[in-house]
Amino acid sequence: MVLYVSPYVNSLFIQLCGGQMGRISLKFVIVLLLVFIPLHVYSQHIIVHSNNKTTSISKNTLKAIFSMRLRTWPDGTPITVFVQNSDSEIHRKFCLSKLGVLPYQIQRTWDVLVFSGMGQSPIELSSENEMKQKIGQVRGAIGYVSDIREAENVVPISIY
Amino acid sequence: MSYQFRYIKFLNSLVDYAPAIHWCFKANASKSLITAPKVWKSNSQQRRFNLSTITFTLYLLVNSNLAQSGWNNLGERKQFQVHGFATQGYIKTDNNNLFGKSTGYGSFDFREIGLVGSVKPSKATYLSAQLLSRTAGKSNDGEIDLDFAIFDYRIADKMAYNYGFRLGRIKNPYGLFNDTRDMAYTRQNILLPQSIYFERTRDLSMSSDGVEFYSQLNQENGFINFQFVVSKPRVEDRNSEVILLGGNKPGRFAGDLTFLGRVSLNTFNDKLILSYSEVQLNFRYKPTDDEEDFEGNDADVLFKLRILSAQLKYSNLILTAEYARRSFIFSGMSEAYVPSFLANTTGESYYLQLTYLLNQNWRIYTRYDILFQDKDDRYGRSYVDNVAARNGTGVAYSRYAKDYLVGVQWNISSKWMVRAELHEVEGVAWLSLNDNENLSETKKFWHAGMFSISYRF
Repeated sequence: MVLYVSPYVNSLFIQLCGGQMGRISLKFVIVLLLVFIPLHVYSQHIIVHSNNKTTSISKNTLKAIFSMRLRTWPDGTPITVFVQNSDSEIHRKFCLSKLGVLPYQIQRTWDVLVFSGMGQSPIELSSENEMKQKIGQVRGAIGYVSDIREAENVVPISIY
Repeated sequence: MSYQFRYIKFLNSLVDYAPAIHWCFKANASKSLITAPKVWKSNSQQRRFNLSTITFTLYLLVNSNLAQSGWNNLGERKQFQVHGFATQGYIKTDNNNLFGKSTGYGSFDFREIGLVGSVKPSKATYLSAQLLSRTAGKSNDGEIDLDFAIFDYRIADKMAYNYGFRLGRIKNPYGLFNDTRDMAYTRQNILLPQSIYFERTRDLSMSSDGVEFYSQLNQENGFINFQFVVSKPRVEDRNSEVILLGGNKPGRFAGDLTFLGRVSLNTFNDKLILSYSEVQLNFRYKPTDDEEDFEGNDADVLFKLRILSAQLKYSNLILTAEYARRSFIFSGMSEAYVPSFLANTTGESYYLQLTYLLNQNWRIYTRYDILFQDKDDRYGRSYVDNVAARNGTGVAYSRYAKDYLVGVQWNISSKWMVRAELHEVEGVAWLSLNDNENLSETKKFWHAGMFSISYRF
């Protein structure tokens, strides 16, 4: 990949890091930024099955749903919670921005429920496509994706 | 791949590995058969356990087939899930034995393996059961135990509140950690504070057979959890006899009604957790005809426990503290087993732990844990005098323990975790008597280095 950078920035780096090393580090930093910045730009869409009558929920309700304390929608349909891979960046972003906790905290909440027999944990999926597919198939399902395009039978739900 | 298929594949693979798994358990068991108390008191107990395990597994299998069709329907879903965990530890002590012969080269006799299956047959019902195998020196020989088997019925499930009841073998809910104490990820250390979560009488505290009523009230910033259990304690094992009566006795314990309750206040994002738990355990010692002291009557044992717990999270710092008062009241017990000066004692324990999250994957922690067997005789001086008056030798430092530890935790991923901790202990109040048969040979000051690796799925 050939990267064009402004001569000024290039010379600044060369001065800072010294000669050839400067050119390499600069390109390295730019590649890193290109890789990581897009992730920060991802938005989170909470999605539910299209038959779901609930169109918006409070932040507290969202927390209760994802910590598996609330098991049914207001109309009586059981809630099926899907999450993405626990080690993934999108899961981490979701936990921090929408639930206000770190992944290990919500994981511990699920572990306490599962390993004491008090409840279940959400179903962990391996990709966004699988998430869109499952939410579209299961009535009462809820999950999150970064990109809502090409999702059938799925509608976003707003959080107030 | 769906969970149902995964479970069936897992069972099939177990059949292939069954001889190897059996050998592993057998190999550990044979080492301890000579001196260790057996987990089962009778063959009929073993048969009942086997029958219930087989029945439950069959039920899950049948339901998994139903769940398979349920999954593809747009209607109700059975939501079959399987989870598990495994922890292997290594302990090295300079004096005294902890989880096997830990002096010398150290001991690998510390293993926790669990498998839990759950299913939601209908909107309001939920079934779950866990099999647990624990190896801990001579106290637990790795036999597979039915840890819990619960039928949960939720009567009301609203946003503002929910309540319901559970039936079956229920994990005893008290303190912050008792109901999931064997699952390394729900603990904050390799070894839970022994002053409150005793390993040596764990069978009494783990789970009991009965009914639980639970309720949750959801508030603006958190929720209040309420649990109340009425059950029969599981007292059939020998470990409790060894600790409470000073050795294996001819008679046996039988459980009577037990009451447990816990109320906790949790804010979202765990900034604050406050809870109060109370346990009242009733059981009896049924002597054999040869034990003349009892004159044919059972002896009653009442155990009371009250715990106040708190956890605070501020930025990267987590502060956890618990305070407990325990009493044992024996009535009608033989003087030879429990002398009168020990028939009614109230112990006191508390600990304070500080955990610092260095980053997403690393954390360090330190804890100070104190246990007094008798709050009116903290350092065992009266105890020694009383025992001497009966021509015996009492070990004063067996009446208390002060445990100071530092540790580090590395979460390699969401599935793997490694922990290492170093303990500096004064006193042997919580040491297992199975691993340390002669208390007078133990040392007052001792250290323990521990290492563990854990996996979960």
